[in-house]
Amino acid sequence: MDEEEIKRLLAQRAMKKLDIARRAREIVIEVITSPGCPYCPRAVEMAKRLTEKYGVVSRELSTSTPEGMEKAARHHIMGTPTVLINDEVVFIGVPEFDKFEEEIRRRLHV
Amino acid sequence: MYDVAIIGAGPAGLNAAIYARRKNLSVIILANEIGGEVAEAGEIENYLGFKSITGAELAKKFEEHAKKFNPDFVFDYVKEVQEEGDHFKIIGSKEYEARTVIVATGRIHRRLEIPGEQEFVGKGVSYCVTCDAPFFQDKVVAVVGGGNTAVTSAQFLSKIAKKVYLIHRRDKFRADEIEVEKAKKMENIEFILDSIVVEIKGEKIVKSIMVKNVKSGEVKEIPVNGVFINIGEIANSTFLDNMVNLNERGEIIVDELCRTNKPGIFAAGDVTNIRDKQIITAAAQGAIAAISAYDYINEKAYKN
Repeated sequence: MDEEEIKRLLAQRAMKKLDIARRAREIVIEVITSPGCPYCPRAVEMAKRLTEKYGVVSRELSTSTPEGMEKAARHHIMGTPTVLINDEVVFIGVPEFDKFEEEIRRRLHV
Repeated sequence: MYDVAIIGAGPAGLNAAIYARRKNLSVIILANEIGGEVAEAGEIENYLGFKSITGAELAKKFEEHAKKFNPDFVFDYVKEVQEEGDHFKIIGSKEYEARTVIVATGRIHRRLEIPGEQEFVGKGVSYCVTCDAPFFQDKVVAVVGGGNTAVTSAQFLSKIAKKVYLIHRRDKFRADEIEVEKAKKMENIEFILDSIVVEIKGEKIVKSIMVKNVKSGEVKEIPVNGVFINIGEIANSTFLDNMVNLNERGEIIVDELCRTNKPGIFAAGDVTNIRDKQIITAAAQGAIAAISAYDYINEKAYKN
């Protein structure tokens, strides 16, 4: 392998990384929670872990806020925690981390 | 390799962590949630030191207290425990190794197992009033069950919902009389006794329930927006069924030192065959299990 080819491969790899980072910024995880829900912190923690690992956006929406209630009403959500990815309900209840991560990886094409 | 892996973070697990850390054992807590069933309770008036406190507040205090002693804490769903030579492998989304295991996984909500129940979880069917009550402001809901949880749930919901049906399969309640009387005085709670829910119907979300009177056999449809199922709990022990002895109710059989039949595996709290499922007895068993784990580790070190 000559020097040119190595450079080209390295450039390709860098491009791919940039591509994934760009896609990650377009993925938004939302976790609907309620103040009385003992299971919710775990789902929120998982979303944070995925943010750290892949650079996706994540946020918590509580039923104690108008924004949270509005989101829940629009999606017929009546239970917490509920996890949405890009405005689509993906998990009701606390997901298994492996499955949650798989949903993110699939959207990142990795 | 940890000295102790504690599975569960309710009163039993968190108190076990405090006792084990104070004996300088290395501890990892693996749990789905913090506080366990305590966090779902309403007002608690029988935990020593607190005349009256909400379940969520008490759970928070337990958590803060345990974290003071710096156990490692990981949110994970434990699927299996395996014996590996002189220690144990605990398998969740990752694998953990420990010399001893304290199982403090408590109980999980019992299901009705009727058509529509699974389908509408999170869409009107709920097992946790404190989690999901906010969605039922000015709506019509049904609570199913006859114990304290069901009756206090109905009271809690009566302040939020427009109307609450309390459906119980018998005509007498297992709940404390004082709570039943309180519920009877609330105008928007309607009691439907000697009746069971046979089906939950809806379209995307819950619309109605089919209720059967067990005496007359008559079935009628009642329009509701939500169904809260509070028909008790079962021991959360299935992930261990090949490892330790369980009783006919699925509870882990322990002796007075919280030892299971498998040396090195201990259990504490509501997951065990202890008679009383109380917060204070669970915490006490957690302490016993931690001391037993400490003794087990020391005896083993002495032998080798």
